[in-house]
Amino acid sequence: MNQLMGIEDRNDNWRDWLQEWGGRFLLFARQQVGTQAEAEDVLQEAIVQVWSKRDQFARIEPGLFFTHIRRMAINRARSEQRRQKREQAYASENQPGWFIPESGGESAEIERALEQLPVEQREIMVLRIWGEQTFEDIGRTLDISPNTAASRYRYGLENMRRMMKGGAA
Amino acid sequence: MSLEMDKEFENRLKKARPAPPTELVEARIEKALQARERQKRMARVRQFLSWGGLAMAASILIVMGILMFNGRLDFEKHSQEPEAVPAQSQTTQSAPEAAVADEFEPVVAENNLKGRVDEGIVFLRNGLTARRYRYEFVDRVVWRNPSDGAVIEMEVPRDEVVLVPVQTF
Repeated sequence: MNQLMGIEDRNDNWRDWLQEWGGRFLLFARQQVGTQAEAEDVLQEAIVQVWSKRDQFARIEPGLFFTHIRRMAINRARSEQRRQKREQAYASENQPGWFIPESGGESAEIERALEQLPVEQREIMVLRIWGEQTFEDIGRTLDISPNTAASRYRYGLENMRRMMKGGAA
Repeated sequence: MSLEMDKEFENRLKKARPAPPTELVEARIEKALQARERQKRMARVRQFLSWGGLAMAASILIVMGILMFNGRLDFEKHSQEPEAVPAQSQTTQSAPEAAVADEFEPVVAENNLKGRVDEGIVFLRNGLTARRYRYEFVDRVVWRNPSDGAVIEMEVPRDEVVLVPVQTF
């Protein structure tokens, strides 16, 4: 898989992963936690975790990082739930956007629509559209069946289309 | 909605590129990975030291045991040396007295046969027949301290059973 992604299996290629997949990992992390800073913390922890145990995995692939990001976010939420709630309202006011502003012209609209989705649809949308994951992979990452993932994706897609202006194109 | 429309909408969404993580994240990951690597190395060193230390202590004890058993190492003798010859007392002591060591030396070690009892024919478990003789010894060891003439004498009774095979037809 990582060969297909153009990432050679070198000893220090976590940088390549970060460069090529960092944005997508971060976008997924942003769906799991409240703020950009927390998402970056989670991303950092996940990469460090995967990379320091890389000998234990048969292969390093994006799904592994997504799974670890989710696990880290859950652990973090458990331990910091109270503090998060207190800080979230303040922190969310000046957060950087989820997408590169000039990239598609519609990035702000997409972010707004995405933000309004229920979390379970939102994380599947991110994994499927930007994470390029199959429903099988998504099922593994989120601990749900591929059918559930596909069904939630269809709802998410439909909801986003409705929310975005001219969604039907 | 048709599949084609879904595809078109998906492509529209894909045009938005996720914002990459800040450069700080890369530096933090590098630092965290280095710290992990250091911890791993330290753990390996600690593990080696704990096992290596035990092995070394065991080897030292074995070597010391062998040396003591062979009489090449005598802690009592060495520890007494500095106290035994203070600078002033050396001049007052006569030469023959100084030469006599204040310690017990073995002077007698003997096995005295006191008697032999013929216990007759016995049948052994392996089916053979033998005559059993019981030899009664007294082992005697005497130590003497040449400096004051004190004597320690030890006698230990001991039996030895000897089986002499008997030819049977």
